[in-house]
Amino acid sequence: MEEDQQLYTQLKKVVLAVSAQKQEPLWVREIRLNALKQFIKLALPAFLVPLVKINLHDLKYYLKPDINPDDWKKKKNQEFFQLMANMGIPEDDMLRLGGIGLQEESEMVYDSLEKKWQKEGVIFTSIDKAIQKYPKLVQKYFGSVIATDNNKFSALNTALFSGGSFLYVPKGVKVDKTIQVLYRINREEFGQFERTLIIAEPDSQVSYLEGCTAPMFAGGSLHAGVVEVIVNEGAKVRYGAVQNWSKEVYNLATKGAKVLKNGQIEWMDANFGSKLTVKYPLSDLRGDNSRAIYQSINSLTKGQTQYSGAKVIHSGKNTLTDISSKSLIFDGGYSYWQPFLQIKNTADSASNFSRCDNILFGNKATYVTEPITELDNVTAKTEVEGSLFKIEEETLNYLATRGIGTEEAYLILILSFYEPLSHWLPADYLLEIKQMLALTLSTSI
Amino acid sequence: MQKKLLKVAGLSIAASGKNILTRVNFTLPENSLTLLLGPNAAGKTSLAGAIMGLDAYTVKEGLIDFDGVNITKLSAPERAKLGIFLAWQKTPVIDSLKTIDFLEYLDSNNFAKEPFGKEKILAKGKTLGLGEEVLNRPLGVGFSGGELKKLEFLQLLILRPRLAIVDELEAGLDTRSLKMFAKIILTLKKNTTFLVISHQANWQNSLRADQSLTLKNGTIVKNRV
Repeated sequence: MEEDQQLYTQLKKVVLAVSAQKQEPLWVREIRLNALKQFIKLALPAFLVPLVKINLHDLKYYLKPDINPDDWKKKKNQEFFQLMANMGIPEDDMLRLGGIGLQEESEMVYDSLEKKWQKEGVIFTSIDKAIQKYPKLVQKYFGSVIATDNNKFSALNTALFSGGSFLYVPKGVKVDKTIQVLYRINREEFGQFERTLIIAEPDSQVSYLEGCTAPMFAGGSLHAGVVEVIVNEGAKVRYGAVQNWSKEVYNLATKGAKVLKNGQIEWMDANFGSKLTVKYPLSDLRGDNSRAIYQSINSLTKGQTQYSGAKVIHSGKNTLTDISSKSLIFDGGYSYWQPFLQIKNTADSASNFSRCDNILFGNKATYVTEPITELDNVTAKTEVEGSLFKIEEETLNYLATRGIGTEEAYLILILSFYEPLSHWLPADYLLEIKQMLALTLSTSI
Repeated sequence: MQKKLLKVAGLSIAASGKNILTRVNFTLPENSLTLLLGPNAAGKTSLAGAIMGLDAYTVKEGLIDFDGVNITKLSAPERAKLGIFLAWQKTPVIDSLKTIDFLEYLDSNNFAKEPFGKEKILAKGKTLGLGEEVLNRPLGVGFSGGELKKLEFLQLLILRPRLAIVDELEAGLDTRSLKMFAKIILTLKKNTTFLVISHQANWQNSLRADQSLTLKNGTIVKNRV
């Protein structure tokens, strides 16, 4: 108790300092302070207690990036392309994108959106700037999908959020290029609390990609993001996330979408890094005929633990979810997968299909799948499938006779195992994943 | 005298602790066609596997020489890269791998030859009777017996090996397809040495073999040139 009080006092100072520095309106500061109380009050879920070894007293909760945002703006195009290329986004890719953002430590240091989309009324900026420039929009939707007390870390994020994206797509506008944001952590024992809010007005369409790909050493750091997506009638949003934090980072994400009539949310992710990943994107399918699609590829090596899956509330009629996950689990890796479905009595003819496929390497690779469905409507259909995918000796022999050695064979088979769920990944990420797998395989088989 | 591409000398092979072949001797002249005959369980498939270098077969004594290189201790992928190819009697199903993707991979990673590219692969498949629809399936999934044989042969056409060991190609193929294969083999013989395991006399005749070997109880009992 005394310790809690001490932490509260310590963090309150940080919250007030962050809020003051950002010159925020009062309502934001109130949200932060209220969230801080929730954070102190909320217990860590039991399964996380042995896994999360973060010293909350020593964590750095706000760090200014080394790069000055104004310097970024002054960079000439070519120089900027070079910098981004160094961080893993080649120039070809930049040209393919509709917008780009970069967050270093606690601040978004760069954001840009193609003129074409600006003219159409699309807004893409950091959440901090959005609070200043579009307070009414932010206030209307902030916290409307993920309640502050959703969990201990969503409360912490709400108290200390800094950086993250704000994306607004007006009615009927279909953004046909991806908007990509890169998150980086360069320091140890640091907490990154980005907050993202995406609003897709009726019949609009957008694809957003979050990349956490800097494999820098960042021991004991915590990435606790909150993402809220509002999918209005007939809108379609794809939220992609590629996560390759260093294997010392705790990645505790809280993501959710509220989907209205005929809307669709796609949660796509690729998880390769971090020490611990916890991620159950919420789809609140309240509109009739709304849909949620989940596609996830994962790799867990020694010392990596992942709790993932989906949380879906079917309350609209004819709502549909399609959830798939494919994981490689190496010796010492642990994967827990759970689609958690609530099918309400209003959700006539709702349907769900969930599927989880795993490949295990060695004797100490572990996976657990534990689907839960709370069914309150007899017209709804749910189906769960799972498989343990084995790479047969005969297959390896066959490929050997074609000049393909064991390591190469594994790589080919794994990439084709992922393929149905990796089609959305940009080529440079696929290449990076391939290189990473090759490295892992060379030490694992 | 014609150059010998493959020399097998005093080769004894065991698999799962059992002796399978005992002191087998023969040579394959370059760009010739040799039939490997013999009753069931005589060790023909084992001999093919041993030349290919499959792990299941342990060399007890003797050696295998390919184009002047002792390959007895080389792995199957290493031998494949030297230009040895095995058309399997029974292609395994690899349901995570799309056939055309696999063929393109073989083509683009061909150690010795210029790649053909996807269009040409599809055209070659079509000539053999493997349409695009079939090649878009996972490897071996829903293939008929004949289609599996054609798939093996298509890989042979893509890889253009120096030595092709063909294990019972005739199983599952109709007479027309067999005639077509015989014709193709005779053309390929200009650059490829063939060792063909076969049971069917008609098919053997159409291949116009340069020599035939008969295996019985794990050893060569007849060598006819």
